[in-house]
Amino acid sequence: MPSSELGHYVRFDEANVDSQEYCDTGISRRAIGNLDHLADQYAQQRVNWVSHSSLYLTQDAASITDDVYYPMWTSTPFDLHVREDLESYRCFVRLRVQSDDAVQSAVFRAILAPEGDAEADLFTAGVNVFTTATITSATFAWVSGGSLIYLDRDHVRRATRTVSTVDSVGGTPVTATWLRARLHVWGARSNSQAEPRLGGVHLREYYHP
Amino acid sequence: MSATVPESRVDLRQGEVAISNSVRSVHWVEAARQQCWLAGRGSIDVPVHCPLVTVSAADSANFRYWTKPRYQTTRYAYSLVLTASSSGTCTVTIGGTPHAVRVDRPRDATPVTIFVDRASQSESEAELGFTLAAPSGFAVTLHSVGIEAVPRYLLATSGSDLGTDRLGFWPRQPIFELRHTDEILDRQNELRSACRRVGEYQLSLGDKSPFAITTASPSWAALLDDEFTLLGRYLFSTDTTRTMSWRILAKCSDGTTAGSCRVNNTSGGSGVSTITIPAGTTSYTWLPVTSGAAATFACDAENNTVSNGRRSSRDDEHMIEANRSAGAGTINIASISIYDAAA
Repeated sequence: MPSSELGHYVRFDEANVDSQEYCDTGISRRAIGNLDHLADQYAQQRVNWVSHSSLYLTQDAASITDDVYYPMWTSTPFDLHVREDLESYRCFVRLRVQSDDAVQSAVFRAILAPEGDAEADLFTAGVNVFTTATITSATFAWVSGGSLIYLDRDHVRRATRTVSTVDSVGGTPVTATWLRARLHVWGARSNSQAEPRLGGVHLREYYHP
Repeated sequence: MSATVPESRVDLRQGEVAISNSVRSVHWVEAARQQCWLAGRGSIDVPVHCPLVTVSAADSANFRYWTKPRYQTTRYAYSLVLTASSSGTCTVTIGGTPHAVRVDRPRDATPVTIFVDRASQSESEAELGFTLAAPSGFAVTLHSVGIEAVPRYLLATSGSDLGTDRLGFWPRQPIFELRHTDEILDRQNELRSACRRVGEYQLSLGDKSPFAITTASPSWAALLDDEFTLLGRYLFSTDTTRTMSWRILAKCSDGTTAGSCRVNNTSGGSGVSTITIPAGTTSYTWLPVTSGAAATFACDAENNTVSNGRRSSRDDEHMIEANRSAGAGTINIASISIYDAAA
């Protein structure tokens, strides 16, 4: 749901907000609503890829154990927008996966985590984890979750880093903050006939109050 | 004058701005902070993706992306995960400056971020890219890459930075045109353009054969293994779609071969856009040529009344296809760049 009153942007003629013109309640209220709406729609597309040339990511089927999660892919670190309650914007995640078998299954987890979190931390189920239903298919298909994943306040605190930036071209470096989050995708198979395979990932922010 | 960029967004009290209510300073202080947050928090120009391209030992390849940056962008962060069969060092060159980058086995690989300053502030369309050179001892695989505009700490209150100094709206400050009108109300249309999503889908496979996606098919052939999804901003009350801009980095294998590349909508949206690859394009060239406008197509705009933003309860999926329309050679596509350029 939108955070602004009308749920959309309202254009107004800039000529109507000039000297000798009224700055009335209506314009003020719309202008503030516009800022809220733009902030909702400032959500960014953080991860977006689908495989090419029939390539995919997996683990060597001969060297993995059934029902144990193994890492499939980890993104580079990226920033996330932070809400006023100091949680990150919610994220919609979509995975393109298969089990390489029409009978035996695989299952996948996408974990949004602060950069540097240890593997043990990744397996603490929480609001930052999406686990697929059991996948039983020898062909790739996109799957997505019913709920959105995000970093809670503790995760945001752990993901916050300082970054050197400049406020003008050629200017003196100064320090800002941003988040360093990574998306980890892990897969597990139910049986040696199956093989967890990953062929695409999509992660986009969505402002959901 | 300059204005500080908040680290988190601000929830504004829109409902309190009403007839018979007091004009309160806090409404405008928060509006000023929100504007700075929107203008200064950066963007992702190349969403993180997985090219899975391996540069052979002692070889190099150029990875190129086309984008329309935000004016506020002053510094880019290139984040890479590079892997190899053994540990060592390769070279990543950005803007003519070489950087020695650590490479590890896939299991041990750690991301590397390289910061690069822009030559000037502008929202003119431009190319981003880097050259990856493998050492003589082993090949290097580009496992993951993303390019972000680094957040700002301060914004100028004059010009196109769109900063607004919140201290000018403090209690006991006058309500006057230079603040309320010139710094907030008159800048909303510019701000709407500034806080775009920028990068929606970007893929570069490098400009070395055989990395690029190729086809010699006279009929439309899919270039990717499956569709990908985009979701544009929802701005105005009647929006159901948003216009995306796109370009490809393409060439033909010989001077008489020509073809086309198109983005297709398979589950929704109304846009199908085709880019012609003319005969004689024998070196990698951005198409449509960068002296002119980008090609455009429509994709779903976000539906902000549902739990996940999808319109019509399904993802708007897009496939990239190409064909050969003349000659006997192949069509080679090294990069596909889709970005939000519209205000």
